[in-house]
Amino acid sequence: MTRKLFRSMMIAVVVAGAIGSGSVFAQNTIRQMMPYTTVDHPQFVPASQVTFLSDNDLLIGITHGDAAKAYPAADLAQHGVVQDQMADGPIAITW
Amino acid sequence: MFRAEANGRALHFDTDSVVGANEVFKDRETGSHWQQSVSTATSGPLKGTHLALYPFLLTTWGEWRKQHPDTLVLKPELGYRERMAGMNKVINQGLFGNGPAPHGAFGHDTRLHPRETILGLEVGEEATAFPLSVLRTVRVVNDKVGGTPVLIVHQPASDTTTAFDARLDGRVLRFRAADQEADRLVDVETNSSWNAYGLCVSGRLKGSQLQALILEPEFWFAWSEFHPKTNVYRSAR
Repeated sequence: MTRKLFRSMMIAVVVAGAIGSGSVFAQNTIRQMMPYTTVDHPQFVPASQVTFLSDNDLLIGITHGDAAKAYPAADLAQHGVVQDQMADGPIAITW
Repeated sequence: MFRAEANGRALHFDTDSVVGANEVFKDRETGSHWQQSVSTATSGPLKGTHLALYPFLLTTWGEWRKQHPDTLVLKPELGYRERMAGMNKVINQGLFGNGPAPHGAFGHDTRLHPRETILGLEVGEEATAFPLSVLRTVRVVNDKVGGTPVLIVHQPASDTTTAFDARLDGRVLRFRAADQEADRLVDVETNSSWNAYGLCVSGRLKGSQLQALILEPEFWFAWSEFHPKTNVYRSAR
């Protein structure tokens, strides 16, 4: 089977497994998936410009020296991997 | 969250497959496969290579921007942003440990429910899983992992857990929560007051900072499979 089909089937397995297969929500989520692909060139905005997060939303937070960066879980979970560059080298953020 | 380089060479990862219901990545540079749970290559030219964890914190937006008002935030791409609300529902449901093991999980270790979220700590050769459900009740844990005295702090308001080496200048400190939220702690030795991020904010040790340790949030089914000798923290209460 094609790589794309394989990947979407894998996502379906993971998502269905995560919240119980057969639920209506799982079916809708599977149909509406975006490509589960690595973010190679992450774009960032300052905190003041964030309109896509609520206070209770989970994220992965990373600091290095004075720099702080947040990677929202709901975005990470749709990509699998985000590649980023910190002052001390390249890192991979995963969910 | 791990360093994306081996032998001085940057690596770029794509999700490839699922083993034991845990992600496996493949790097573009060598084609090696990497098991997410242990950030170790399981096949390919880099087989056996372990990628060091990069320090990170799992927390909420409210708590993170309180601690880091100048933080940058990853901007979601078109199409992904619209699906974040639905994905948050899935993630939040997953944090309450319900349901059977997912398809493909090996399920060998039944000490905890398969979907129980644990915070895993590795020090030296030893690994201990701290169940989130226990941390939500106990909030402050003084334990030992790999011979190192450790402090685990859980803040229920944001479901945030932090971990530290509990030694300061060669002296072992023990802590208790100063309040319901465990965002303030007190050390038994000097009665100094500390925040949940290992910083002493008042008292004799004011200004001291405990060294942070990296906690790995994971479902029990994956942690136990790839850390088969793990301890499980059980509250004394």
